[in-house]
Amino acid sequence: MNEARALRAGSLVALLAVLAGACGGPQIPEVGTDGMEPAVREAIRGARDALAADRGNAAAWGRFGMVLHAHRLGAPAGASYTEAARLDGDDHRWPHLHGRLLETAEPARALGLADEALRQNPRFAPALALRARVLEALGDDDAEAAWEALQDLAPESVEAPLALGRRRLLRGDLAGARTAFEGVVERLPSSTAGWSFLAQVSRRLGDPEGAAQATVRARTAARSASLGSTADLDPLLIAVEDLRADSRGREARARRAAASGDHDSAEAIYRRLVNERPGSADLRYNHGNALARLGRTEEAEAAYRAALSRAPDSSAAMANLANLLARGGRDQEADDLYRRSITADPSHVPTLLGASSLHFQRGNLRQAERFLRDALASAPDHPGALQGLGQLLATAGRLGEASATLSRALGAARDAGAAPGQVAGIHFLLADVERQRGRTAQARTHLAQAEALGMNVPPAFRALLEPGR
Amino acid sequence: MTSASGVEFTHRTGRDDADRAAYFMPEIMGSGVALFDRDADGDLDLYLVQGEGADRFFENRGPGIRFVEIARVPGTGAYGMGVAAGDADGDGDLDLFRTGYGPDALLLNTGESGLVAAEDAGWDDSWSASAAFCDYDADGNLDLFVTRYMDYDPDFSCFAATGEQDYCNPTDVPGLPDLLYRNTGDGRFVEVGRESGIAALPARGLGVVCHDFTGDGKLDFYVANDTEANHLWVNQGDGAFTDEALLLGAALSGFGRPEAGMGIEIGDLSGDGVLDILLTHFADETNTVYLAEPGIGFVDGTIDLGLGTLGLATTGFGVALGDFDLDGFLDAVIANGRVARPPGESPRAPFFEQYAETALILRGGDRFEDAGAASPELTAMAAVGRGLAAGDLDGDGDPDLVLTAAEGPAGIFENVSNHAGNWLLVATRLPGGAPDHGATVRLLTSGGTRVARANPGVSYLSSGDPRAHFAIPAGAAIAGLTVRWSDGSAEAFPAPAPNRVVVVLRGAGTIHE
Repeated sequence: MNEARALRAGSLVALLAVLAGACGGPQIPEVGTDGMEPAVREAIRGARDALAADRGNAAAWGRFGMVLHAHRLGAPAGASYTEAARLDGDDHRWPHLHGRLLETAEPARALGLADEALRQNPRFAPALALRARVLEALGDDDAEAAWEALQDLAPESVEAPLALGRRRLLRGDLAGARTAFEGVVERLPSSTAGWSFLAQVSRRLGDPEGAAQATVRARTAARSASLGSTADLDPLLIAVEDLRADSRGREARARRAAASGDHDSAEAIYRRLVNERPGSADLRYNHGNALARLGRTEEAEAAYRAALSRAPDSSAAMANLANLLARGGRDQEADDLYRRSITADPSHVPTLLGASSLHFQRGNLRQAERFLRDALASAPDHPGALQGLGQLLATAGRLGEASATLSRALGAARDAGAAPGQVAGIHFLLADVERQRGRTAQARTHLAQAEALGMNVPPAFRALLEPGR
Repeated sequence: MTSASGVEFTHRTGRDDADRAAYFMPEIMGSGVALFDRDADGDLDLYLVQGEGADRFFENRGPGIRFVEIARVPGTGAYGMGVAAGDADGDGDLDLFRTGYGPDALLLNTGESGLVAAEDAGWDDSWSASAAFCDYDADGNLDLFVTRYMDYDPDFSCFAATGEQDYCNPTDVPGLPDLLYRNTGDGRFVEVGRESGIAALPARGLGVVCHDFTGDGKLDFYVANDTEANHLWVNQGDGAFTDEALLLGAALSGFGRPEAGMGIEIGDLSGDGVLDILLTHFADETNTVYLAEPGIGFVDGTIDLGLGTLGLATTGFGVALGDFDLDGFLDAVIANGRVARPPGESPRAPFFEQYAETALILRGGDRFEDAGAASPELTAMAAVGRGLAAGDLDGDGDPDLVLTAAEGPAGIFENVSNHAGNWLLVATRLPGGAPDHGATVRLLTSGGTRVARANPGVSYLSSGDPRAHFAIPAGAAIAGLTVRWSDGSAEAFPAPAPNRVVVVLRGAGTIHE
């Protein structure tokens, strides 16, 4: 386009904008809300009222678009994003969300919107990921460069190495693909896709053991993943989902409440959801978890049993119910459940940890160790399993092995971003092991680190490490 | 051409029945169709499964596509879903296995008197979907694989994102293990899911195909699972199966995502002489192609074949691959229909219109292209498309189609394409006279080698033409024919002349017209 034509086109856009402003801007999209859940109706009405009060406000249009988007009302959401972008051409959020809305239905338009978002914010990784996905779906050769750009921009991305690994696999670069997929599962151990591709590439590289192990991990990950998305987390899309007012939206809020430790709120939301969707095993299970956290043991047990009546092979529900029973001293019932769970999924780490703990407490160290080693066979860097094994070895007097295992646990916990309390606990165990080995200096160092992480070390233990003891 | 064909059948969901729970999920899943030569007169008869009520059986009384209703087959107590054809009792004629929400049933072909439900053999009474007959243990008796969809309770309600009630999202309901019945040869089928390993992985199974996917001479089963990883049950030869779909690259899409698998077809889409897999999926997902690469496994060829964006807007179920215009490239037809209302739409009458979509017609070539404009009658049929079976109904050498729809009429579509080449239909028969399901036929021509399945058990809830269909480009001569029988043995036959149906008998080495 030459300059004169560009100027004329620009003038036309401006004129339209002025005319739109003079006429009070475009009409707010009408959305029929009859039949919708009252909470959804209310959410839409609220966003619409806010917009009606400030129709020249890009953010109000954007928020209205997000509320509609959250409830899968795509067409009016798209129109709202368009108006938000027209009012504020510097905000990358609106073209990006509009692009996400159109990603599969109209990939060519989504690509243009991703490019628009990137013009406004070149360092916005989710828009770059969107661009790469759409290019790939369109069979465009630029996809590879887009994935590489994403990897450079967001080294923590799981989606980029997954895509690059796939492309290497297709080219027959098996070693390169394997490296990429190993990076994926290292960053996201619950990546079904990462383990699945790792299984394929291991098989093709003549490593049947690695392939079998990766297959087990892929299956385990698939069972625990609620959705099969391979996309990196997109904070804007999460913000959209936060606006969902329907029952599923509330479920997501319950999950967040539980994750942040607000178990009262989580329990209240799950209780309501269970009544609304009595057939859902997942809801019963999550309700059970909230109740267990609140110490409402009998109700938690009932909730887990209700989950198992709907999903009899749920290892997660069996493990948590068994843990609950074990805490209540019902060892035999707990043991039976752990065994059932292991039959359903021999690589279910929480079950193996729970079973190990039960046997450890009963003094059956050999069986407890076997369970822990099974857990480590499927999750070699599981901090909890390594910590448990270290503790068990220390109890058995195998101090050298205990020290090595706990040191590994410490590294694994740090890598996994474990809570300071857990890291402090491992330091404390190491301090005790080193003390027993007569390595007082090392013991003191670990003790200091445990205290630095907020642990209250018993004075009697500290006294054991004082000079002269 | 439904009325002219003599077939008047409307699927009845029973949605308005007083005692029916609202949004009873089986009603949106539709039901299937079988094309099978019940009376062994050389043409394909038609069996249509009814949701609520009696199934319908029509006999082919050509010339042309002309059917006459022979019987209404009373319901077996189940809400009807799928149908598979095969010689279950080894008497040389074709029987049917009918699946449903409720007790499944074996309908034995009794010759003159039609189809009669066999005595209750303790068939499954949960929710089963597609079924496929094949002799996986190579003992000469057809065994049976039955997919099971989910452990569904009609009192369980589901809601869209707006909070309005709608049919359940499959992820709301747990899946079930599929079933494998071994035919003992004395009229009994024994369920061996647990012993074989198949029961170990419950999932929401819909489509199933029996074929030797690993090329080791043993028949395997590939299962399309809804919103979960697909299964490829690889036959270990000792009665055991292991799922190798993840290892071989046929479990997840090329992007590593589980998809909503519905229907399955197999055909040589890459022209390398090996059968590939085409799976139909939910809207926003591709209809995915897994290209078979011997020694490697499967590679997602969806984008390379032009399916990266075609069909993304619709939800695919039944699927047929065939060279409909005899130009040497496999074309595809996909029956589409939504499983949920468009977002934001409240229910309105007529209720099922909100779930209706049109079929997708794809012309084959280096890449698939939308060829809907060439079939206006088929693309005008907006319906909740579900079952789809392809077969040469009028004996003119090209595949015709039967499409079923939830709460809609079945459509019979005559293929009126201009023939760009010649054709050959190959019926593979076992010594007893029954079709050998699972055989693969290879046709050698001066224009190259083509391979096709002789296997009716494809698509969704349906059973199609069991004969291998070949298009032979104009000017190409047939040089020979080889059959890989379902027991793993291979046999060569003399070159047949084109434009006819030929019958090859295992072990005979001769061809009959």
